Formats: sequence, C-alpha cells, structure tokens
Amino acid sequence: MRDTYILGISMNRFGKYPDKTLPELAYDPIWNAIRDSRIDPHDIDISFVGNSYGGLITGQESVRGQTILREAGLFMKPIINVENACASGSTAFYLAQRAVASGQANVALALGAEKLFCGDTARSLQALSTSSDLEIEGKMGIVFAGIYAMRLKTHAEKYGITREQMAQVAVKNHDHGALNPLAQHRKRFSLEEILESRVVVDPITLLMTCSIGDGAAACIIGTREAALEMGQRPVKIKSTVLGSFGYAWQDSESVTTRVAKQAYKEADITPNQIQIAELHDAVAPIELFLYEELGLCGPGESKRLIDNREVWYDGRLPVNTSGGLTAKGHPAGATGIGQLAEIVCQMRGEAGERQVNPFPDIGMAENGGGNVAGETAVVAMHILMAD
Amino acid sequence: MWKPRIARSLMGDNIQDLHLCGARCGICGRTYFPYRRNCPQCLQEETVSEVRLSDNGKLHSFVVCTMAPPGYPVPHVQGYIDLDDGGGRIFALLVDYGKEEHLSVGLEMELVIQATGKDADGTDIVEYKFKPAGVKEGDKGS
Repeated sequence: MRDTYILGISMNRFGKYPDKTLPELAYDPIWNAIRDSRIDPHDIDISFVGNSYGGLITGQESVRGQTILREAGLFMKPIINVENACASGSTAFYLAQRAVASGQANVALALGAEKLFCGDTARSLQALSTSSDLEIEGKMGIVFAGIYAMRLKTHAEKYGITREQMAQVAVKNHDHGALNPLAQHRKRFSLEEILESRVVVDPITLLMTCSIGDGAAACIIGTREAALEMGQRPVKIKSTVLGSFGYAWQDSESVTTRVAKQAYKEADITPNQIQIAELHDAVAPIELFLYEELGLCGPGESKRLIDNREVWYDGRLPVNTSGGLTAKGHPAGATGIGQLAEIVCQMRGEAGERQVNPFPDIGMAENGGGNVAGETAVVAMHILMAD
Repeated sequence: MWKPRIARSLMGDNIQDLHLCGARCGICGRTYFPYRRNCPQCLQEETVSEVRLSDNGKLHSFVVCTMAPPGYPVPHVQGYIDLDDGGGRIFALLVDYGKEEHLSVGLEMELVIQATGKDADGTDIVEYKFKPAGVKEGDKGS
C-alpha cells in the first residue's frame, strides 16, 4: 500500500437550500476541491459518492452519484454509489483512499452530499428513521435520542457528570459555530439558554441536538508526488478505518473503541498525540462519552476536559472547532468529509477567528452512522498528519 | 392464533401463555434476542438452540421520551432490561409503571404480552413490553 494525501478539500456552508437540487448543491464543493488540489480534473480516475437519504427524499433511489457527477461534468470514469447512513461521506473517503493506496487509481474523488430539507419535515424524519433495522428495532418502537439519553444517564451516574457539564459541550460547539462562516448555526448561547431550551429526551435539550440540513463536501485524494505539486501544506492520510456494530452489552469494547484502537495502531500514534479532533456529536453531550471511548482521556475524566476548557479552540485538545454537528449542521452524507475539511483547514492555518495555534500537525475525525442491535451501525475514523 | 410483531421474538401455544424467545450458543454461552439461526460470535449454526428467556429481569436503564414514533402514545418510556437466568440485556417499552418516579435503575420488572393489532386475516399481532414486577396490568399507580 502506498502513502495517500489529501490534495484538495472543500465544503459549502451547511444549511437550508430550498432552491437547489442535490446535484446543484454538490457542484461548488466538487469544483472548489479540484481547484484547491491543482490537479487536471481529467486525471480523476474514480469517484465515490456518499449520500444516505436522497432516494427517499426525491425518489432518485438509483444512480444518484451519476446524477450528481453529471451536473459536475465528471463522467465516463467509474462512479460508485455509497450508502452508510450518517457515515456515507466517511465511507466514500475510506474507499477513495483504498483506491489510491492500492494503486488502482492515482487520483480519486470522495464526495458526501445530502439534501434533507424537502418542504415536508415528516418525510425527512421518516427517511432518517430508516438508519436502523426496521424489522427489529424499528418494530420495538425505539426512539434514537432516547438511546443516546440512556447512554448519557448511565455514564453520568457512574462518574458524577452534571447537567451543567453536559450543557457546557453545547455552549462550546455553538461558540465555535459562531466563529465558522460555513456553520449552519452561528449564534452563541449561554449555559442557561441551553439548559432551559425544550427537553427533547431528558437530559437532552433542543439546543444540544443537531438540526437537519443540506450540504456537500468533496475531497481529492492522491499520491505524495501529486501532494508536493499542489502548493499547499501536504496532509497525509495516516489511517482510515471503518467498523460495524457488535453486540455492545456482551462485547468488551464498543465499535467506537474498537475502530479507534485500530486507527491509532495503523497510524502508529497514541491518542495523546492528537492535537485536534472532529467528533460525531449527534447530541452535544455525547462528546464526553466519546472522549473516553476514543481514549482521549481516561474513564470518568471527560468532565475535567470540559471544566478546564481544554477542548475549546484555544485549549490543549480542541474538539469540534467547526461547531460540530451541533452548530455546523448535519447533512448526513456530507458530515464525514465536512469533518475532514475542518481538520485540513486548521492544519493549513486557514481557520480565521477559530484558528488553533500553533497550527495542528496531527488530527482525527470520528463519524458514526445508524443504529443496529443497540450499537452505532457504522463508525469511521481517520487520522491525518500534516508534513 | 397469534403472530409476533417482531419475527421470532415470542414462543408459546396460546396468547395467554407466551414468553420471550431467544437463541443460546452452546459454545460461547451467549444469548441473543430475538431468536437467530447462528451465533455471530462463533459463526456456528448447529451450536445454537432456541431458549425460553425469563419473564423477569432488572431495569438496567430507562428514559422518558416526550416524543414517540408514529402510532405510539406519549410519554414513550423505553429501557433496557437485564433478564434473569443469563437471558441478556434487551430493549423494551415500559408500561403500567404508574408515575415516572416509580421507575428506578435496578427495579424488578416482568414481561407483559399485549395484542396490539390484527393482520389482514384477523390474526392477533402480539408484542412484548415490561412493567414493574407485581403491578397489575392496566394499573395506573398512585
């Protein structure tokens, strides 16, 4: 396997685009990533297109990637459609990385795109609900926010984590979102405002959740030779790992921990070398749980990271400087590559008001999707290192 | 005549005497719910047998949801139950608990079988829920 690099990456501002189709949404991120990479677009050997719910939202169940790349003008070469719930973009990235690493392609495009606003919220929510096993958990009547809430409650009781500490994660992510021009929500909220917003499922309140949205993010992956020609700080893909659910309560490790350990091992680093992280905060306080599952701190230590402001953009270990899913938004299939766009932006020193200093050299993104048998159905983790 | 809402989740001859149906692997000893053909740990079929899971267990965790999937009433109370006799941890909706304050982690719970609909042939569609042990069905508590 040969070394792989991010040659170019781009995302649009996540939000609500009632007048744009999915292919129209994806056009600018694709071409901005190509321009960013300085490659000749004719050299793209293969494209992987991540999208989760377009089939249910628009009826375009088949060949969605082809319709998107038709608009972009990139066809004839192989186009692979990728569906892996909210980790579809990350999965497209994983496959594109493998294509270049194996020598199958010299240049690969990974795209994540999603359009969840369709003028019918019930339809959007129904589409999202299909990221579970409809015949089993679906018929059990599971509410997924409730699964998160149970996880949080059990964890909080075990380690004495308070509601204020949980809410503080949302304060942080909204603070970061306010500084990110590409975030869907750019408004700060006080601790009181977060705690007093409508209870979705106790202890989760509305301002701790991510809203539905539209958006796209694209990434060009290539070899070291190409990376040295692009005129930007080269960012190497140290590892990209994908894993699936287990039977969590009887397995010793969750899928997230399992994937993280493999990602650190393949990157030949330890978690304490991570300088910046984008994590899948589908509800903000789950970040606390993730810090521990990902080995970024020891069991029960996550509350210290938030109390000491270590995870703010100017702290020791900045987490979700983009605003995370909470503030940047969560157009499902676009999220994974959107996370990588933030890490690369920070490594290149292009993050403006939320810039981490000194510019980080080692970063990670963790992206989850769906829920099967009580666990996250898909977990993707990528570790990047700037030269 | 009855059929389970979730395939292979219940066993028994008549609707008054149904139990949770699981699969147990003779090699690793793991139990799965609902019943499944093989053990995903050992990846063997012949080691797996159908087992009647306990009607009783302890509440591992629970949450009161003010929203519910279409067709379910609110509050929508869901939890995980650790079944007695090594039956494993299963997801369940909770009923007949009276007030929310009556629920607590570790509470003894018992199985409730409810017929919640009929299919096109008039067969009862049956599902499982859990309630605090010893509480009468339909009891709203005090």
